[in-house]
Amino acid sequence: MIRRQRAVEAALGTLTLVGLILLLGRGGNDDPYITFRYANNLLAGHGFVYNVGQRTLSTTAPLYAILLAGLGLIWSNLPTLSNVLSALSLVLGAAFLLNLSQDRGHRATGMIAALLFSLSPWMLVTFGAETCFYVMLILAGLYAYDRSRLTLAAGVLALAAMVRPDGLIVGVTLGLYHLVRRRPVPWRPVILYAGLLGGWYVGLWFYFGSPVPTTLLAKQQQGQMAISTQFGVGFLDLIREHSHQPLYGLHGILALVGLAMVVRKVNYWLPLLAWTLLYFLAYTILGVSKYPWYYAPLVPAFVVLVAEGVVALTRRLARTTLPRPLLMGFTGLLLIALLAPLLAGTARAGWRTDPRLEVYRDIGQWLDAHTPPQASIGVLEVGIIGYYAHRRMIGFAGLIQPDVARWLTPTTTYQDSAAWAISTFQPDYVVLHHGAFSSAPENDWFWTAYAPVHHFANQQTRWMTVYRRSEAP
Amino acid sequence: MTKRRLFILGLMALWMIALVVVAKTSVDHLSVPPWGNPVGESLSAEVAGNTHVGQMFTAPLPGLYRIEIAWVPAPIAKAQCVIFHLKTDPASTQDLWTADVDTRSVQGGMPYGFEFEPMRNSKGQAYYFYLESPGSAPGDAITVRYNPNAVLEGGSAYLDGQPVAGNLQFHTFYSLRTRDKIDLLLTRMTEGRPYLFGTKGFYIGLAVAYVLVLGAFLLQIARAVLEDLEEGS
Repeated sequence: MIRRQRAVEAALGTLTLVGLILLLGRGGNDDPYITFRYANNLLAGHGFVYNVGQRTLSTTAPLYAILLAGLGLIWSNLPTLSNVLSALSLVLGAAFLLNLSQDRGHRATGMIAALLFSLSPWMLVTFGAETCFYVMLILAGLYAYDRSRLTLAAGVLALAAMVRPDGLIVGVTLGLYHLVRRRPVPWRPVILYAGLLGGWYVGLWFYFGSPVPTTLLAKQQQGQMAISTQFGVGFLDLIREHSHQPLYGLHGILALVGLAMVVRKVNYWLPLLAWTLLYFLAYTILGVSKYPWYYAPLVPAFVVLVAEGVVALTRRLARTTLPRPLLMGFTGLLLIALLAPLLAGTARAGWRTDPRLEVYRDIGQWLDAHTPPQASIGVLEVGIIGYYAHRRMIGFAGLIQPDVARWLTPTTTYQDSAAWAISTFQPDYVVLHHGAFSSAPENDWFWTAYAPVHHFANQQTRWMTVYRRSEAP
Repeated sequence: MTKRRLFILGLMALWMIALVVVAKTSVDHLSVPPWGNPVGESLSAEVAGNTHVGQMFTAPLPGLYRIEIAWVPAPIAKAQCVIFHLKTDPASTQDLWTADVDTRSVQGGMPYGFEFEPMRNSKGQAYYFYLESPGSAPGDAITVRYNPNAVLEGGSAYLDGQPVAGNLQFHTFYSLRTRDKIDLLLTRMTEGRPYLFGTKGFYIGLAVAYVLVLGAFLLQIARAVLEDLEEGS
């Protein structure tokens, strides 16, 4: 019986993995390509840098970049490789949720949570980025901690904090939880954790001059802009949007029921919930702008609460006169109702690729083929274009040059930061979206200094032009 | 077959039907983005008297049902009726669809949409649309937004039935049936993939296998819920 159950779980995990790789393997967002470029430069022997010769930490995921560089020795298509890693991490993360609950004797909860987690659109939109890998490491660490494998937990959670600095939150959470619930202090795991992280961040400090990624300042500054929404407000917007969809509403109701259950009875989930809460608070306080991938780490706790809610509801129904076979049928239909919006989200993720991907790749490849190797390129979104262009990039969103980020304020727009970056750094080429730098008199300097050389469009909404500098602005 | 097995088979069948309904609904909610030329920085010749302005394009998808054109209306007091023609090519004598527009109702700066019954076989089919306004006088007629640099595969702007460089600013919209969407998704997934991964049958088989294993997993969950309950009680 157990063997058959394991076989079904393994078959579903394998099919999910293969399906996700085939459905989402060719997609991607712009930001992860910054990390890919670090990995690419490392592979090419240019050092751990974004722009050759410029030691700035512009990736939030330095360890992930090193991992990609290592795996890139075997498979050089880093965007696809990263998507495969995301799919694998998602399935492994689901397995950790399943095992954590199963080892506590609550098999149903674990199975439901794993199923919902593996199809969550909020995880799928992060494919290509480090997020799935990061969340998987955290779930692995929490599982190891729950099994009292404290040294293993410390090692894995240190890796999570090396992938993304906000991984430190889970270490702090677990440390506090441990002090409150169990004593004495497990010195060996603590020393391992502190040693690994100390070495890593001191190393980053020496190499880059700061262990804090420039992207943090940039995203905070972006969050202040009038066109941006900050993380906390964005979260409320998301709840509002989803509450209009009845089946997501069902998720919400069951999650509230599950929360009551966890607080009252099933407290082995408390470390996960506490980390999620602290993560949410940290991001709200930091005031970074609302990007979909920042919400993904909230998913594990949410699916666990929904799963606990389902179990609590069926338990309540079991106390009625409802026959057991009918209860089984009802449970299945309830789960299908919960899966419905997730399957729709998965289909949407596979159906609609980021419209920027193709046109940005074309621009990057054109720049690589038609500009001198020492040329510099100014662009708002540096990810995909920079990855394929192999040129020195100047980003107007402040991700590469921290000075640009200071121009992102509540009263400025990306056009202002672009104008400042162009006039300050004088890039040899500039890539602009249609409508940027209109023919208003205040933009005369741009039109005097730059002339269009090539247009790109994707037959949908995007129209971009490459300009070449003819004289100093 | 025992009663218990029969019940489980019935339950699985019910869940499979529910999953298929969920899958169909998910696919039905998908839509394709509009296709065309998004930018028109210049203006075409005025659509007045015998002058007509048009656009040739090859529809990339089935189910063409709407064409949006970005035009600059004439002064309201002087506006005249504009006629929209849709044909398969400029030489064709028959219109596929025609519409008269009272341009006084057209809002400046907004694209104007012409909607018709979806053309199910539009994929790969060449179309030509043009605007004429015999009653309008030069100086008081509409103009269409146009981009002389835009390159569109299988497309070109037309002036008086003759191709000119560039394309009008326009968008085409497509309404796909469930089977069209599934076919499009399968086509995208097979594109550029080798061996078995390049065949649609593989993906259909994979989806069927997923649904069956998911059904078995749901059954395990339902059983586990009951077992947990029994252990708890």
